[in-house]
Amino acid sequence: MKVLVAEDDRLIREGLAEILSREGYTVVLAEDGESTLEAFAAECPDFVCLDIMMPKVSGYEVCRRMRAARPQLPVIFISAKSEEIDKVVGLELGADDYIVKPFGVKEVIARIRAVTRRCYATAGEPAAKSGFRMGDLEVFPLELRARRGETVIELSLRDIRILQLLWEHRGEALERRTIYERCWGATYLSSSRTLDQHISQLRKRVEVSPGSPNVICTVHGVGYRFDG
Amino acid sequence: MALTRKHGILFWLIVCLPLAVIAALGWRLAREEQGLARQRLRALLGVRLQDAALVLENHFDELERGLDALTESVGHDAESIRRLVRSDPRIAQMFVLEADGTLVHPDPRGALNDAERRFLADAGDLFLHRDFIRTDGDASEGPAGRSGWVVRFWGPGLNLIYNRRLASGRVVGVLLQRARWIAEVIAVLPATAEPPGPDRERSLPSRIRLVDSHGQSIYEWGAFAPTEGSAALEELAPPFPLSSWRLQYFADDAALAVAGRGAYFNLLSLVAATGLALLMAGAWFFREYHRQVREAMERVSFANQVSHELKTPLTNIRMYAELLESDLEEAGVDPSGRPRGHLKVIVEESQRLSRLIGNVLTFAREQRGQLRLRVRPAVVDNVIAVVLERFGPALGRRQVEVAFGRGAGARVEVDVDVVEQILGNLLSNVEKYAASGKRVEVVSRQTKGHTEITVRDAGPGVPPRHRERVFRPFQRLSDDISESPGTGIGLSIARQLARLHGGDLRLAPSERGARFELRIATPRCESEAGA
Repeated sequence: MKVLVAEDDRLIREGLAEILSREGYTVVLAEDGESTLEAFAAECPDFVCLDIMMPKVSGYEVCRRMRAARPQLPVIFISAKSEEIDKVVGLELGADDYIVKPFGVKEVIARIRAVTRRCYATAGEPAAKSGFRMGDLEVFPLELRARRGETVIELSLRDIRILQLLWEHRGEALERRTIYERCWGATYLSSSRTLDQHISQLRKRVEVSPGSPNVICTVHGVGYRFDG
Repeated sequence: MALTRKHGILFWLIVCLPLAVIAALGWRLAREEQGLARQRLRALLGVRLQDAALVLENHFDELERGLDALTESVGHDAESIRRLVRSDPRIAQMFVLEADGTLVHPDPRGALNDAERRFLADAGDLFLHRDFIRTDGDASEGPAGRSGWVVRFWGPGLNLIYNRRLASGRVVGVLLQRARWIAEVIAVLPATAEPPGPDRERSLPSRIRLVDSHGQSIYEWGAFAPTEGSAALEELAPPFPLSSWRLQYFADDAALAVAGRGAYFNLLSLVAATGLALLMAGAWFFREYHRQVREAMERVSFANQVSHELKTPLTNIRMYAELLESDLEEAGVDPSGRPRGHLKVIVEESQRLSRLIGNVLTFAREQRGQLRLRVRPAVVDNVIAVVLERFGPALGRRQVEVAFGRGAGARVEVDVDVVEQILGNLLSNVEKYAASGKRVEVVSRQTKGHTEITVRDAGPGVPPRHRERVFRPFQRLSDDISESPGTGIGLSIARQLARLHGGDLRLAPSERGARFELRIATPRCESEAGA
């Protein structure tokens, strides 16, 4: 899933890019209104994080032009002023959500996951992809959630991809490199520790007992496997 | 602007109300003053008329004395009486009655001249009563016997008859020559109405008129010329036998209006001076108030500006600190180690700063009347969980145990930012003031259309008398410098936001600690309500 981040502050732009990449999104960056419109035309993103106060062309105008081309495009507005958000809501520009500065990582993640769910819901994914079982864990990719009994577990796009890959190749040992390529994308370069650490964090959420895992089992020297 | 209009009205009330009261009281006082002045003037006029009446009284007293002497000398035979009548120009006719009341002159049975016949025709009824002496006024009892006046109207008007019972029992009467006695009356009256002496210059132009019973002027004197048909300012009946006549006083109407005008002038001066003083004081207060409002607005605007400027760097500090925390977690750095501990402090403090800025901006928006709700579908319990998670490390470090009783799991229309800000302020208070209780309990509950969230701590609590005070802006319950720092607007904002969200925030009585009860309107989402 590709996200266009349009923000004139470099640090915020790069920070958002990092958060989104960690979640498993492909990120395209733009620093002003003009380059945002160019990137939108060239990259065809799945949704856009759009700062309102941008040089050259304002976020409102960028939103209008993008919506003219793609009326269903999800847009998350970013702003430092509540008044601007009021305007976004008041003008009915069709903001799917908004984030007011100063924001934290978790807030951004929650908003982006919510929009991703809506993207999936409107994309009309096949029913088969709507859910699968990994033991007593039921995974719902379209919701970015898993359920074990009454417990609801919030998952990132990347978490879903890893679980889905393991489920699709259940019984097979998947190499770390394969998991990288499929779940991080070829452009994402990282140490093997990144994957292991991610799996460790994921286990804490999806395993009943992370010390003796049933969903993501370690295959020493190779990678990981779901036994099915 | 609403505040300014209210104070504008207040300003005019402060200026106009005392002015109106002073003017009303002054008007009443001036009216009374004018009434008194009129009364004094009327009394003065009365005195002037009484003076004239006294002149008439003296004149008639003198006349009576002359007539007494005349009647004493009246003979018995008709001829001597007729001679007397002819010789005295004052007398029109005389009559004599015996002690038994028999009219002996002019004798109706004897030979009468024309004048006597006319007299009997005009005044014959006088002699029908045997107990004559007759008087229409008070009969005077002198040493020479009883005497008195009889007034009769015939001919051109009033006729005066003086009669007297002599020591012998005879009654002698005199009909005065009308033209003569009127001329004498006129002669004794003054030629000018102005008082003599030093008051003459200051007195008003006036006229005194003596009118008969038909209202015809007999005589008038004084410099003032009243217009035709104008009413007299004062009126007095002259003494008997002229009591059917009137003495009337005329003067310029404006003269009375002038009386007491000084009081109105004084009142006007007082009202004008007070009004001017109040206006100046009001203008000064108004200007002072505006200056303070402008300064406050500038301060709020400055705080607003600064807060906005702080937002971007603060976003970066918070975001990168949280990313670094995530990096360290991924790198397997010991969560209880110093680097992770230090980083937690940065994250928490940046969150605290975010709350402070949020409160300042919300306060500024509330002051400008720009607070708006932005509701969207959400699960309130999830919002509470996010806030509790955010406060988890800070409360944990103070060994405050957090208990969350979930009861608001329905998807409702709610302003997530508002709920987060209210709860953030309540939990921030727990962190600052109630950490000693070592426990905070958050319980949510949903009823039809509303969500209630109770935040109860086990700290020192709030004395009952301060339960409302804590919600006022800039109120701190303790001035102790060792107290935790704060802006003093957190709870005020929390209540404002709760009310904006169709509910309220109150501090409920509690045996131990503080118990805040938040209630907000949260309509069910349409998709859920239908389910």
